[in-house]
Amino acid sequence: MTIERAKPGVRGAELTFAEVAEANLDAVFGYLVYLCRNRETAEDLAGATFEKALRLWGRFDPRRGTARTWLLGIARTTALDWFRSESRRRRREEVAATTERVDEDFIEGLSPALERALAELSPAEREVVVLRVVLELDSDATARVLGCSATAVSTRLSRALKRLEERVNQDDVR
Amino acid sequence: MTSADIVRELQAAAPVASDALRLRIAELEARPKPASPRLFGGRARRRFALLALPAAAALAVVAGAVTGALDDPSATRELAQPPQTNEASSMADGVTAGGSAADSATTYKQGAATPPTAGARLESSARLERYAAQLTLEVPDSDAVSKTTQAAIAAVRDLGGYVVSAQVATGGVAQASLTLRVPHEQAEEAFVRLQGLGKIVQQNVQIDDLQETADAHDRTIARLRTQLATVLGRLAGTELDTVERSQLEARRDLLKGQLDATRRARSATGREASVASISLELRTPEGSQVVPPVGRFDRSLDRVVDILALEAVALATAAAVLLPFALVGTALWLGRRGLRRRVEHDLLEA
Repeated sequence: MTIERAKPGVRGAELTFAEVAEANLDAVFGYLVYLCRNRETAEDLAGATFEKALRLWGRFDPRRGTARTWLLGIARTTALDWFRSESRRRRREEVAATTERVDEDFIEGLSPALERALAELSPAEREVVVLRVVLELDSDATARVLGCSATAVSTRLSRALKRLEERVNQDDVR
Repeated sequence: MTSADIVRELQAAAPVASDALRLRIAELEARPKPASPRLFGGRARRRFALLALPAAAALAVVAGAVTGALDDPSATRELAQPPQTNEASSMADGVTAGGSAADSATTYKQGAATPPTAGARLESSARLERYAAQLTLEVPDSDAVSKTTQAAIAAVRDLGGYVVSAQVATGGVAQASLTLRVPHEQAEEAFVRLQGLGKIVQQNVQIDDLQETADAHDRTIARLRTQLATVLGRLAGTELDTVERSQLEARRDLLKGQLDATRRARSATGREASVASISLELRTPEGSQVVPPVGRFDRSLDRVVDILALEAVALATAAAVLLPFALVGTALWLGRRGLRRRVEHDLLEA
């Protein structure tokens, strides 16, 4: 199966699924790490994402967006399913959110202050940060992944960065 | 620390997938291939929709062109253009009253070779038929009305026919009205000749079958003859008493009377079929409404429009039937999507 290739994740000449997966694996994994704050869970979800993507590969239409955007959309759906199941599990076991599987240092190489600040953001804020800042998607592509408007993406990003800055600076003061 | 510093640090520490995950993903394609996309998946549906519309239009054009081109208006038994006037019935009545042809008309055959006509043309069969035609012609002016009237009378007489009535008015609004009779076998020829005398404005040819009536008369005559022969045979015998003889004679007289009446009716039917009636109207351009002949292209165009209209009606009907279901489905889909987004929002904002 092939698509147009230009550069990885972007429209262009023909690419196979394996090439697309290889080119976008870090992006998908990074997005999922930010979203669920657990590397092991992120790896499981990344695996599930690519399995689903392989099944749906025949429906991928490069004219409607890049492979990266398409894969991130699948990753988001997969992550939301995981969030739902986690929520149900917590309700069923009546266990507080503290039992959530969360890595203290879910992102390697970050300063402890920034990592703590990130952990205090909501998943919705973290996902806009990872998409716009870490993966450097533009507003339109991010909006497509999140299913909202580009304006909403800008607003959400600005708010998230402001909160991050406040938390990091507060931590520094302490 | 500023936002710019944060962005730089976040980008520098972008997560990288482990080798184990990379291997796991690389092995995915080694698994059995997934099923091919659904036959009528999203793209297939869109392609179908994109093709269906022009295909339906093309079908209408082809079907209209073919049926319009193949349709032969001369094949219709009766061709009536503007609404038929009352003259048709009055003319039909006049055939039996004014007919003078002999009973031999019952055995006539329509001549096969007749010149082509500009307008309506009906092929008569070997059956007994009542032929009545109306023809309205437009001629240039008042003089032409007079000359054409004379030409029409001459043409009819040339074919063995005669004039029942003729009314010619010249001057302001010149017009002529002729009622003509011609032998049935000359009817087509006469009609063609009359058509050539001017520009056809309106024409109507009507043929009524009289064969069944004639056949019924023939059967009655045969039956009466048989009965009469029987009665005559018995009367020829010598053993009859007076009462029986008188009864048979009365019966014989009755049968003879019935036989004569039936023979007269049969003759009248034959006469009616032997003469064709043609009503000819001549007009000048004032007040004439010319009906242009319909060509194959026009017919094809009409058919195409008809078929397109039919398709539009079918689509509108389908839409009217499906619309409520589509609305309910859309409402359900929107509601489900809204609910899902709300749940997602709750999950991600937690």
